[in-house]
Amino acid sequence: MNIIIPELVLDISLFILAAAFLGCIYRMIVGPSAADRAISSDIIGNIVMCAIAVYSMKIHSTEYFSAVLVIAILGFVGLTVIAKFIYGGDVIDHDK
Amino acid sequence: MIGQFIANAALAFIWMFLQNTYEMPTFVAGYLLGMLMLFLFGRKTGQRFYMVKVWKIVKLAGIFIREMIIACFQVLVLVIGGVKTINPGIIEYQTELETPMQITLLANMITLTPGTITLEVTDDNKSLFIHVLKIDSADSIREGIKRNFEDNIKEVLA
Amino acid sequence: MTTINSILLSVMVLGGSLFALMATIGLVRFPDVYCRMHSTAKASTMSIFLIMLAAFFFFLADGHGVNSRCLLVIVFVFLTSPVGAHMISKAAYHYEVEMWIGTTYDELSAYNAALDSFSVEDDSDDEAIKNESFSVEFE
Repeated sequence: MNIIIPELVLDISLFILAAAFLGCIYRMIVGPSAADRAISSDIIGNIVMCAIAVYSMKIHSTEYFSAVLVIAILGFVGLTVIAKFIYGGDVIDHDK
Repeated sequence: MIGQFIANAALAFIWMFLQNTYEMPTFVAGYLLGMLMLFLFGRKTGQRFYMVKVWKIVKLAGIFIREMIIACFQVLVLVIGGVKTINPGIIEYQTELETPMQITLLANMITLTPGTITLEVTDDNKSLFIHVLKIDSADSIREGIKRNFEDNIKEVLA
Repeated sequence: MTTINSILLSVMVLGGSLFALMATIGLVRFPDVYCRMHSTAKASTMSIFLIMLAAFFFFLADGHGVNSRCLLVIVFVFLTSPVGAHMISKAAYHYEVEMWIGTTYDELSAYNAALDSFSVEDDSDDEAIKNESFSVEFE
């Protein structure tokens, strides 16, 4: 079997993604407002999706792509809910 | 337009039945021949050839991706070169688009343009508020949005 | 697998992870919420795009066939990431998160002030309410 992507490249990219993850954790702790924390949690979701893709390239298996799709959907829905909550305090609109 | 697409697919299937092979290259060949027939005989019914619309959608997606790539390189330059050189501000942009779908698409494209993020849309759908990273480039951003995005969006979404 | 394709895929994977690093460095270094949205909404979408595209071509060449979930993730992230950034920025502005000192030009506050003053001055209902008398009867 010929080598498509060298293992060293995949290891280096996983290391870089871990460093990016630490930056997001810093912003989540320090960020002075709720919007900072919300956006950093969304970025953590994106980084985890990238890391799952790189890892599944490493182990030559396509099992985990369903998890990637679910994380993308849940991340977006969570971001919308938190934004609506910060805006008005009322997540579900009831028409009176 | 949907009728033209269904007619094209039907012609492709008829071609496959005529050739008696049900493989993908035969389907593609039948689809292309159906496109040619619709182009030649479509002038009589007065409808526009629908591939023009498909081409416009592809062009809009190409503009989308190109603006995002330029935006990423601008973020790269800003992060490395110095964050204190930015001069942020909020400007107002009057649009001519009317339906909510067009305005949503415009707001998404503005968010993916280098240096701009949509902040708010007014209630009467007349103007957008945009947060800009460098306030000196506000006029060029206004012209860029008007030239690149609005005409293409009007052509795609009527 | 030829070396040109191998080099291209490796560059895409490394580029994707570097864009994610740029997104979080921007998240740390920018002085203001609205400026952080600029870096994260664009750079993180780009990194997902590159890495998922590399995964799609990798599994195509590796013998697993066409994996359409990668393309679906790309389309979904392209559609929803700008909307998410816009919603958070709008909520943060409404919550009156402070802008950086350097922001010089703000038209939105004038628009909001006009909107608020319009709703406050409309107190023609107040006189009708004042004339009503509320009496509580204790039984």
